[in-house]
This record gives sequence, C-alpha cells and structure tokens, in this order.
Amino acid sequence: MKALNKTLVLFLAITISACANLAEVREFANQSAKLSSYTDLTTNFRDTYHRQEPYLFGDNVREIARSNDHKRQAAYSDLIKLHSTVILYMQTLAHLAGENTFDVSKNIDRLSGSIKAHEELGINGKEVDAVSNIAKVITKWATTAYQEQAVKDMITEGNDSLQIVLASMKTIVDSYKGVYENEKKYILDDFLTKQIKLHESQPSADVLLLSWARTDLQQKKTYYEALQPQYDLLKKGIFDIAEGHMKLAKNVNNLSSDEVKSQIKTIAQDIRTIAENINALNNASK
Amino acid sequence: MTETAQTLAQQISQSADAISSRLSDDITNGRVDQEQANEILGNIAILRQQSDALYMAEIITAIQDQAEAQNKLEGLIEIANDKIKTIQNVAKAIDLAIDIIELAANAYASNAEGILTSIGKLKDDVDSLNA
Repeated sequence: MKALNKTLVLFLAITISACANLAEVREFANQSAKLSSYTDLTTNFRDTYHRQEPYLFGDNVREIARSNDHKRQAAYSDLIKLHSTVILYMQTLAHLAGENTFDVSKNIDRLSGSIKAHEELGINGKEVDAVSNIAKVITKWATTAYQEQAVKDMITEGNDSLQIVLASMKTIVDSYKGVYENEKKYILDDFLTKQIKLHESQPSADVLLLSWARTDLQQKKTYYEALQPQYDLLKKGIFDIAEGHMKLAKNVNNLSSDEVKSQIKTIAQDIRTIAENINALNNASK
Repeated sequence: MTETAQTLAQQISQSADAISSRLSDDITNGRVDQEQANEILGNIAILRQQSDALYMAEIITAIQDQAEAQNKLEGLIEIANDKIKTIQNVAKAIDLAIDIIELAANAYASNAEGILTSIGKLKDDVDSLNA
C-alpha cells in the first residue's frame, strides 16, 4: 500500500512538473496592462478645441472646429472603454495565470491543523499529515491542469478579437497623431510664428504684445515637443502587445519551451521600457 | 474607407503645409500685408479643420469595426472570472470543513457557547460561498 502511495505521489509530482510554467504569460499580461498612456493621449485628443480656440478667427473655421469638437466629446467614452477592455483582459489573464490564484494548499494546511488541534476526535496527527500531503499533491495537480487549460482557452479564444481591437487602437492613435500634427502646425507655424513676423515688420509694433506672443510660442513649443514621441511609443507598445499575444496563441501548447519563454520575456521587457519612457516624458513635461 | 480617409486627411494637411510655407516666404519678402496674411491664415485653418474631420471619421469607423471583437473579449473576461471563482469556491468549501470540525469538537465537548460561535461561522462561510 505504501509503495502504491509513493508511486502515486511520484506520478503526480512528475505530471505537475510537466505542466506549463505560466510566469512569462503572467509577466507579459501584467506589463501589457500597465501601458496606460493611451488614456492620456485620448484625453488630450478630446481637449483639442480647448487649446485651439484662442487661435481661431472667422465664423467658418470656428463652426467646423466646434463640429469636430462635438464629435470628439461624443466619442470619448467609447475610446476610453476600448482601452479599458484591453487592460481588463490583460489583468484577468495575469490573474488567471497567477502563481497563487488556483492554490488551495493553505486551506488544506488550515484544515489539517484544525483536525490535529482536536485530539478528542481521535484522529492521529501523523495520519492527518500524510493524508494532507497527498491531498495537496492531488489538488495541486488538478488545479494546475485546470489553470493551464483556462489560460490556454483565454489566449486561444481571445486572440482574434484582441488583434482586431489592438489594430483599431493603432488606427486611432495614428489619427490622434494626425490631429496633433494639425494642431501643432497651426498654432506654432501658421499662427504664432507668422503673426510675430508680421508684427515685427511693422514700425509701430506693440512691444508688449510681441513679448507675450514670443513667450506663448516658447511655451507651446515645449509642450508639443514633449508630446511628439508619445504617439510613436504608444503605437510600438500596442504593436508589441499584439505580437506577444500572437506568439502566445501560436505556441499555446508549447508555453514551457525556452525559446517561447525567452521571446515572451523580451516582449514584456520591451513593453515595460516603453511604459517607463512614456512616464519619463510625461514627468519631464510637467 | 479607413485608409482613404486617413490618406485624404494627410493630403489636405500637406496642402495646408505648402500654403503655409509660401505665406512665410511672402511675409519675409514683404509681398503680403496683415489683412491678406490673415485671410490666407483663415484658409489654412479651414484646411486643417477639414483634415481633422477626416481623422475623426476614421476614428468613428475604427470604433465601429472593433465593437463585436470588444464584446467577445468582455465575454471571455467574464468566463475567466467564473473559473477563478470556481477555485475560490473550492477553497471556501475546504474552509467549511474546518468549520464543521470546529462544530463537531464543540459538540463533543458540550461547549454551548462554542457551538453557537461555530454555527455562526459556518453560516457566514456558507453565505460567502453563495455570494
């Protein structure tokens, strides 16, 4: 009987060790969920008219600008929700692949402790330990297999939809950048630089007005320069998330291979670096 | 549609760039006065706003195109959370066994206060299992 127990435990231990290590999946999903600059750029996009308004003259242009503003305000919640879904998906995947999410060994330990604490029930402490150990191995085997399948199912069934949502996010960020470029060029190059030039060429130029305009130009330049790299960084981050998840989906039955683990780890590190760079840019512009 | 809207938006923006560059030269060379320059600036502003409108159209299309995929992801999140909850319920069920052992020990010892405490704990754990 003892030999059978040992064989069973050995078999289960080997089975568990053969299960995929989900650490890389967890790290990738965690890092992906931290790429939050989309929200900042979406808010920035929504507030475009607020920044442009002081520089717009003429009824026609103001009418078109207000119409664009209404559409941006109306789309804002959908744009934020889209990103929230990706973040929540990644957070859930990280939790699903969590080291302790499917671990009930502490509960079993508490149970065996409780049985041992009541000697009056007539159950021998050593027997309790032995049963508890076997129970832990069996539950670990069962829950690990269940967890691995749950992670695989989520990755496999979610990949196509995630790729579609991320592709839309890339298109949206491209458009944010286009609107940003239009705003920057209009306020810096079209309006402020030219108005300063025009006023400088006049003999009766208002010196105070000129100095205000120059100060405004300097401040706006600093603002737009800090914002510029964030669009491309965010796009690279979205691209990395799409690539990383695609790799997971393609290798879903091979997640323990060193090659796949190394690739996913590198992508997670890239996403972390992008998020850190964006944060550094944000802090520098404050 | 998306590709066309974006391309067109970029082309309109490039037209505005070209007019803006020409205006810069004209101002430098004194070929335009303030009033003429303002009129041209107004036209440039309209072009940039029209370009923005096309980018906005592209964004609206992108939101619509991914709506179904987004719904599917939300469904998968719910399924994953249900699976996590299943394991949490297993852990809670083990905790129920602890409550039952405590109750049995208190009953064995005829500890009335302990029995009541154990029953209360058992009820709380059953409630949390059903939550």
